Amino acid sequence: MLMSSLQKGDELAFNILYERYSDRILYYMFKMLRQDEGKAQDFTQDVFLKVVEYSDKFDTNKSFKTWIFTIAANHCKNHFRSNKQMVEMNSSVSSHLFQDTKEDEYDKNEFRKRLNTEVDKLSYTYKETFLLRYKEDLKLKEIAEVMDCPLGTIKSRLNHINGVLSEKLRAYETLFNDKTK
Amino acid sequence: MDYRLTELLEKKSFEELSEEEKSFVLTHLSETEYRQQHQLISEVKSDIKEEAKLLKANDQIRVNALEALSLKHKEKDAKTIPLWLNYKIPLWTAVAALLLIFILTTPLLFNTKMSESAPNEQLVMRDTVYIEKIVNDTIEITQPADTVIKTVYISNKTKSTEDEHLITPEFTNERNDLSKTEIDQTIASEKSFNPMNIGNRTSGKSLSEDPVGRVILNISK
Repeated sequence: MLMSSLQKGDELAFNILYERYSDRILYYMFKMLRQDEGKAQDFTQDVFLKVVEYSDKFDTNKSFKTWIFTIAANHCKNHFRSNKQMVEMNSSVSSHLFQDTKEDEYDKNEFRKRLNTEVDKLSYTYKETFLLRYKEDLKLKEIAEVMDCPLGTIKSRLNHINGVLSEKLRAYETLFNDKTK
Repeated sequence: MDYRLTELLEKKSFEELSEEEKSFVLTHLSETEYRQQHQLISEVKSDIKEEAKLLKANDQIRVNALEALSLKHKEKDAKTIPLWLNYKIPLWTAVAALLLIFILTTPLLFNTKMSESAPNEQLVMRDTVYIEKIVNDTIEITQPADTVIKTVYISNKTKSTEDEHLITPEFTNERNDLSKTEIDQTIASEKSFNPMNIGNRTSGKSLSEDPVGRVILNISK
């Protein structure tokens, strides 16, 4: 409905969509670009300019959320491809081994720092899957559509992410357990 | 790790699991491990959502995007084909219309004979004709009422001068021995032939026999 209005040039429709998605796209870019906020802002603008430019090509029977995240994912992917950073990012998962240190007490900021470190260590595709699933709460089918890959691949990636995070953040697991008790 | 386990870890706490799910989970993990992993995933989710709240998209993004939107639709409106051009007609109608236009305009094209005239031919030599017209203005001479006009008549000396130049025939004795007086006397005595009296004379002699005629004709004796 909103996209139908946007296709006709309705600025109000654009404003509503912008309110709903601008911060989400910004955060996605922020995480994908290794927490470079300036670049994330630029990329968010690029995404919304593409939304305006290609709004006519959008199929109104499909999900806008999936479409805008596809634009964001492709834009990000193209950036890394042009800068030849994909190899570096993909190799980072195996090159860095987390130094497991026992935490004395649960510190939220410390946990966030650690989580960000571990997420950054994930390869590009794993990180993308992680964000779309845990931040955006996209369904597996939607993630598969955004990333243009089979559903089984997404399940496999999520299993891998959960395994890695539970292993790397094991120290915090016990603390959470204590906290819940 | 089975995806079903991942799905359960994401969605349900150990207490929320059914008996069948519990038995499935316990084949992979202990109860404590399940609880810890479930808690970890929940914490990760809530943490990234909290972190996301700290970031706000720059307002300039909205301004630029709206500008692009209005520009796009202005261009779109400019490119819109007029309604009458959008109206579709069958091909044969279009061809027939073109043929008709051609037939109707062809005689006009031939009549113009534009092809016959040389491209550099000067069709008009002069487009402006100047006519010289002498206008004689009337000159009025105003004189005072008491003016006396004196007319002085002078003899025409120039005419007499001209008369002096007239060539008057002169009779000389160079051509004949007879003097002018003798000719006059001869004519008076009617001894000679009077050419002016031709009609009254019934008899006569030839001009060569007449002394005056001989003088005129310069016939020697």
